[in-house]
Amino acid sequence: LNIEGANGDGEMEPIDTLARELETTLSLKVPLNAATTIELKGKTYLHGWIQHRFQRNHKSYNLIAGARQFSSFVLVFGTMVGLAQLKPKEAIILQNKDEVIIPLLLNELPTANEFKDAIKLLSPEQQRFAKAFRSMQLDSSVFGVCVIQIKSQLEELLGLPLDALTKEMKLTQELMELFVEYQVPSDLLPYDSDDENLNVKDKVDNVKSHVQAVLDVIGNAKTKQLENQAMGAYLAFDSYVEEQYNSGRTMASGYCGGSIDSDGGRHAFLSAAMSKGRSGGVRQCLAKQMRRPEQMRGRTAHPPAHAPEPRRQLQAAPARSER
Amino acid sequence: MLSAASETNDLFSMTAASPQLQAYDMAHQANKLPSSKAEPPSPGVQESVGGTVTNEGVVDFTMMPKIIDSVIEKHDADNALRSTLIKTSDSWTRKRQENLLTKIQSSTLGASDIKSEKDHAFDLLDALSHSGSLPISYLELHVIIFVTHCFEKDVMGTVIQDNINPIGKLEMTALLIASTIHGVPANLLVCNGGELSRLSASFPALLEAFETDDRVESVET
Repeated sequence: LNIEGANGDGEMEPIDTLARELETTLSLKVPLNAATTIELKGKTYLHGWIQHRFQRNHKSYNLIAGARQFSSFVLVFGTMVGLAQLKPKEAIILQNKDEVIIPLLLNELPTANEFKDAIKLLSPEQQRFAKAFRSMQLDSSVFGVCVIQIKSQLEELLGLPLDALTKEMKLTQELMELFVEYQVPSDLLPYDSDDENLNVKDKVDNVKSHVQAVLDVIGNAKTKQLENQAMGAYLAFDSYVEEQYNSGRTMASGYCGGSIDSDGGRHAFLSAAMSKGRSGGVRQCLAKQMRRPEQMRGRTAHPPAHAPEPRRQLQAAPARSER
Repeated sequence: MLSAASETNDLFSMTAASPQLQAYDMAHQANKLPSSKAEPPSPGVQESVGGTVTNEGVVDFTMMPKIIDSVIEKHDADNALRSTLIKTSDSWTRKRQENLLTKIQSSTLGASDIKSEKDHAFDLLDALSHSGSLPISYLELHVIIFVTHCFEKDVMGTVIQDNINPIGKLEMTALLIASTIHGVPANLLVCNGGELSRLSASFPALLEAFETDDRVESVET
């Protein structure tokens, strides 16, 4: 994580700050939403960043953050408000070689003397308003960047010893997916064995079993949803084919000598549609429709013995289109 | 982390392990020494190193800009130092490698993408903190206070027409901000005696107000 600015040669290089690590134990509140406020306790560094400019030559600066492979962290930044509170403006998860470049917008405030000169002629009420406004501007000029390590916090959340997840890349990815994609409650996953003598591997296995159980539930739900959607698509297509067939039955039967039955004519229609289908998707769908098992269609999958030959069915299609 | 080169030049030695600073911190916390800040602290709040700390041990960083503003008003006769707001742009660039076998691809994140990323991050933080009941301990917080020293003309114009030494002015700015960030008088930040005397001649109002020897003696006693 660094902040870079263009030097005199136009190359980007890290900025210099006057930094100090605060020795006080930080307890910082970060409101995520109206219902949830998280508490942060960790190292705090105070930076004084001095920039100089001649005339109106404003430099551009970027906040650059990157993660290594199989490592991850959450980057939160915002402004400090009130007593030990960070108002988060933006946040992003960085993992597996992600790198994000965030341009910084700098807005210079008037100097204290300029401000005093500017409000000198205002009424007392207006001066009070201007001073309050400037005070709020100064309050919001404290920029906070927070780096939260995901793996270490996951270990604490799951009740695992420190560094237990260091080599568990797959488990870490699955945990993050469960939390981010599916918003799985964190109660479902922690280590919960009563045996205190378990070693680290057994504890990790315990968590893995919980994760696998949740993944199984999600997998089953996915499969069921896919089946329902496929069934819905089949039924919709079935009714569409039925409708199309009924509307063109007279024409097809006239060409075939009026001797085809319902399923035979239907088969002819599908074959014709397949041969004339413009897109591959339509062809695939039609092919599936023709290959559907008997139990799904609720009728015989194969044309009856007295149905016309496939070659003749294919010949029937041009007759329809010509008409 | 933030490329925090604490030493802007050879003048300053601003490490926390400096014996003088440690001695000053001890005396400062014991209220043996008067505060170097321009604004008096409010009741229930005592000024401390690098900010203001309440009796409950909570750091109030929002006091820092006001302290810096008052220090600038007091010492910056040229009216050149401006507090600066930092905001982030609405368009970010992200480089991502989908998997180990693919190349890194760059993409631009717009406002909607940034919002989506924020929601994902907050969902994860919500889970990691057990909806706020579990404090998050593995983190680093960097608080940044940004000040711009503005010269109205270009370098030659500043030196020749305005007869201003920009390097000297920036030295003063660095001393002012370092003094506020570290919560110690500016003279304690300069180790070299020769440099201290030179700077005292250049910025008497900033440095002569404190006498180093008296400070050290009072701390030792």
